[in-house]
Amino acid sequence: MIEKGFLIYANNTWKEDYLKQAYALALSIKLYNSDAHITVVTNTEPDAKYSKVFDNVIVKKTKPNSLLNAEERINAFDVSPYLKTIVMDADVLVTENLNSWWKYLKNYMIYYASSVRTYRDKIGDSTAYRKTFVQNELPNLYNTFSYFEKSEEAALFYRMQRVVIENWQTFYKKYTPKKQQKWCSMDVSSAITSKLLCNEEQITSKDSFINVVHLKPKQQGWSFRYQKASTAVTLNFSENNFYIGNFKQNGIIHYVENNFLSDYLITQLEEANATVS
Amino acid sequence: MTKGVILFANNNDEIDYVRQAIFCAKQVQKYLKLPVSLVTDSAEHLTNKYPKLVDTFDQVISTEKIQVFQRKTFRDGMGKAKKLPWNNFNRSDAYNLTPYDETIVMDTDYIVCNDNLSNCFKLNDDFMIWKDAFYLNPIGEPWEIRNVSDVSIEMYWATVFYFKKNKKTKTFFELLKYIKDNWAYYRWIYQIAPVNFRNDFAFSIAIHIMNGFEENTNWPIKLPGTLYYTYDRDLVEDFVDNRFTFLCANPNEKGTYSIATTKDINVHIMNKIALERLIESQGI
Repeated sequence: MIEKGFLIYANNTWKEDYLKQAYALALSIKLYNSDAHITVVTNTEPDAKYSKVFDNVIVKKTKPNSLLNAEERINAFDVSPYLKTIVMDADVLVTENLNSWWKYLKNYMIYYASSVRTYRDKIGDSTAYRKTFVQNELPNLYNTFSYFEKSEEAALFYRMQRVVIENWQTFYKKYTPKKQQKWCSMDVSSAITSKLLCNEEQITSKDSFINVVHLKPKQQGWSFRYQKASTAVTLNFSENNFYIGNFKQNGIIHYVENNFLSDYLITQLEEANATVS
Repeated sequence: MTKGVILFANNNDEIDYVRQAIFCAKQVQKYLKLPVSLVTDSAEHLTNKYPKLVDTFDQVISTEKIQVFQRKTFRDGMGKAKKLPWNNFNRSDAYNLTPYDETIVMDTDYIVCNDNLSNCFKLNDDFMIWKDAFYLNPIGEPWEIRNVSDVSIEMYWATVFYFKKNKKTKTFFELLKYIKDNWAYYRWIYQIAPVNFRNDFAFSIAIHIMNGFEENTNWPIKLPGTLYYTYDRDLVEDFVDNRFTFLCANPNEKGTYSIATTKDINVHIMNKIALERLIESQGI
């Protein structure tokens, strides 16, 4: 078994090309972590260009049967070929070497990011998008970045998560009576799982440096109510650094809106990778 | 190491910055006990109009009068506003123009009423400037400025700053000059709406670049004390025994003001027309 690696789910829908996003993410990972091993799980056969950046491609012809196709991700624990796995959403970009992150994650069997930053590196006020979590006192977990080590503890967690997701309507009714979400969400399901296992303190730390630049507009501290963050700021790549609105970025960026991922940005990442390799 | 203060005063047809500089310099000398030099394109005005007050300044550094195309709105309380030429372009030359090794640069409308800024010289930092400023209007929040624009960087106030000559500050001022010379570009990059060149914005951009396009850094440090200001919509009513009385505009009810007083506190008074009246009443 390979010791550590990255797992990305990229199940394309009629609306979103998640495989393209996963490709950009993989390019960004490899740029700063040249020895990284990356697995993509996808419902679409990737072309030769995309395949080149992934070390392992698992094609599973699934048909999304929920808004976010969350059900598919419950298999992450079983599917991962790694002893230690970082799982990331496809609409994420890595902006630095993650060795210190791996080192920190050694302290955990399971880990979820639980705080977000703005592109200006301020603590983001996530409450606008997290009413279900706040009102139902759920752990504020983000599946955008999670980690597990193959272990009894993690196996138990993901078995429980599977039960929650397969019966999400029942669990959501019982554990999220206020501001209940009408679709199956990985974030809510993971939070309910954690609440059931009373393990929040063992799987996350709000004070950790592991957090996510989350680009949803309401948590950026803007006075104007932009409907889309991509109408307010741009995401650029220059000399191996990512910039949003002219701010140099650190850690990982969850850009959310597909508009941020321009073809030009991908070309730049390809060129930067070619230089590295 | 020589220490001192420099003031910039470029008069337009209506605002006598030189007279403001005289008043400002007298306050500096009283509380900071430092020599004050004047950088001005209106040196002749100083010698002709205030011949007995030329000695207020340690040195008068005369600069060439340039044709200024940008115009700024000058308000006098809630009354009618005037658009006048605004020459604020030579602040980036402070490094080359100052006769001192350690310099405090301040706007002529910044009135010193205590010795807080003397502490600059006791610290070992090469550059100090305020990022946070406090509006004296008790109900004035709507006019507070935190960022150069809603989505952009935090704003530093070029109203007052301290620098020590070294390689880093030299680079900073060179960068500042570059930003000034390419203002249209930097304004666009930093999503700044106003077209006019403004030193606060240029300083903020230069600091952001010097810090590797990041905030939350430890350079520059803040100046000793706090930057208090009144806006150009507010009026200066009185200045007696180091006590200012302001009439601060009520943003919610046009034409009404509330009183704010300060004692022994340095204040940046943005209503230059009202400041002129006050200075005249002080006998200058």
